[in-house]
Amino acid sequence: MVEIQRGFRCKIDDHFNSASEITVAISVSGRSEYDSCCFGVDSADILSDDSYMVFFNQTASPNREIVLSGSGANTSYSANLSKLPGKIQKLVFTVSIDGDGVMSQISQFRVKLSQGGKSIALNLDGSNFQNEKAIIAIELYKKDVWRLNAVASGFNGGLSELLKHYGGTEAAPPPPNKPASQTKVELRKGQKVNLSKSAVSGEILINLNWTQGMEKKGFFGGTKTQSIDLDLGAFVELTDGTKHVVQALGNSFGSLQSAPYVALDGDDRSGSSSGGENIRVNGRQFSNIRRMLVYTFIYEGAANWSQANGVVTVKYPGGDELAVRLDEYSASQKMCAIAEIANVSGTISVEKLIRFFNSHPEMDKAFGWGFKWVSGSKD
Amino acid sequence: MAISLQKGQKVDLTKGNAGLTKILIGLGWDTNKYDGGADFDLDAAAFLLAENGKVKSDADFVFYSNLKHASGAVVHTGDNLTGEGEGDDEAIKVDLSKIPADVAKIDFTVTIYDAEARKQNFGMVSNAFIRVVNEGNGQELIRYDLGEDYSVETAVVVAEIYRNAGEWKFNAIGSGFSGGLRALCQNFGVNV
Repeated sequence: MVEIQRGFRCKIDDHFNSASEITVAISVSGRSEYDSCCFGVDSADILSDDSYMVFFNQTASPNREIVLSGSGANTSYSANLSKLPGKIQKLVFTVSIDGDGVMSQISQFRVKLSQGGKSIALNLDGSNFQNEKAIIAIELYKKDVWRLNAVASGFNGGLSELLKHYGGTEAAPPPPNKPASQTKVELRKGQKVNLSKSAVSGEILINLNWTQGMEKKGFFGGTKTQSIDLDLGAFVELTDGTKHVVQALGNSFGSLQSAPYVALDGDDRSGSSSGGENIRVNGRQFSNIRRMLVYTFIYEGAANWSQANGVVTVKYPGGDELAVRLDEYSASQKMCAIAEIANVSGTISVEKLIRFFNSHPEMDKAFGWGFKWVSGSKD
Repeated sequence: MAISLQKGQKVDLTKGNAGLTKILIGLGWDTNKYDGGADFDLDAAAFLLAENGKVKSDADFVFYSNLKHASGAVVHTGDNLTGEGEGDDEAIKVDLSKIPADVAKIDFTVTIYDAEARKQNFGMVSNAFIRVVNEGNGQELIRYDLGEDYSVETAVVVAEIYRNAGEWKFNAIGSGFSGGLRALCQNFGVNV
């Protein structure tokens, strides 16, 4: 066992065989909740390939060169440096605090590298740190040969600042494991599509599906134990000039058979309903509709879109499906205008908006609806 | 174009550079990209050494508190407390024609100020380099990037210039020491 201090550097082959698997075990004890992550970055220190970010939600790199086991305060990685693709020049092993607390409050921090019977260990405690919320434990990097640097330093701004350091932003590494369905059309902002050239019949379905952060989906929020209630709503303007709000807040669920011919089918308060929330538009009455503004808002919980994992889809029988993934956005406002659906000479025009607002009135004003707003509650 | 050196490599400085007398020794480093911990303060210094590898007097040690050698041959351009910014962090001007005859070589060092108390070492320093510039025309003659070989050392003898058959040569030493500037001073015979 070789005990090292902060700042220590060596060539891997001085202690181990860099061509074989090395185990990196990171343990932290203290009063906070800790997460560990390994970034595989390129020669410019940029996380250019998200699949080389190994963490609780993606526990192995594409060819299993880096495999995570354990979790939180006791995480272990196996690293096969020689099998990494050439573009990965550095593995950055990090520890971040989820929620309250700073690194000076930890009681013990230990990084142990081992291979066969040999090991190198770095032992630190809270006195080695100050107000950091995310630190680089060690780096394994390639400069001619593979090397170790016991960095043990970090950032007060936590994981998001760490991500920025490696060229990412909070939204940049999109959550993995979400392949787009072949049938869905991803619209760029401002792009318009006609979902149907013929007159509308049948039903237009607008679906919001979302899941809680219980599965630790969101790496970036620090609120994974806090519940979020995400709601779907729509402003509807009919050809007679009347305007309606369809949403759970204020119990304005609308109606399919009478004005506004748009109805919300329920309110999923926890994200656990598999079908999510649906707004249906009565296609046979579409001629009575002039325009609709579809929006979603966070009724309860922090404005943490990446964690809420919401997807809004707009479906029309026989037509394409429009999908908007909200976790790609990192806005601090709690309300998002998703799309405007307009009746253009009897056909549906859908424009993807993705504009964030702090409140109903603010969004109303931006799109020129003119409702009168009072605060409401669902309870 | 500058000659880029590896550790331990020796090259001619004046030979082939006829008329070269005034050079600038530029030293640079990057530190402290993280939050927390104390600020880094790295210091460049020059030791004017006799044939035996020691200074003849303490005045032959040019550093932040003794910026100019009595001969005028070696002038430290001033202490940089932060190491911020691109390019040279500290520079030492050398006039080869004014170097006293009993000075056989000049060693250039970089040390971390107060390293022990601040718990700092050269493993936390990156992109350290030394370069030799012809002061007359601004041309970079020699460059030596120190690379990744420093760990828990707190002092580095970066390079030296030395007399050889009537010419000056440059040696990319790159040796790390623990004990900071104090240890280097003791090594070179400076009373501290």
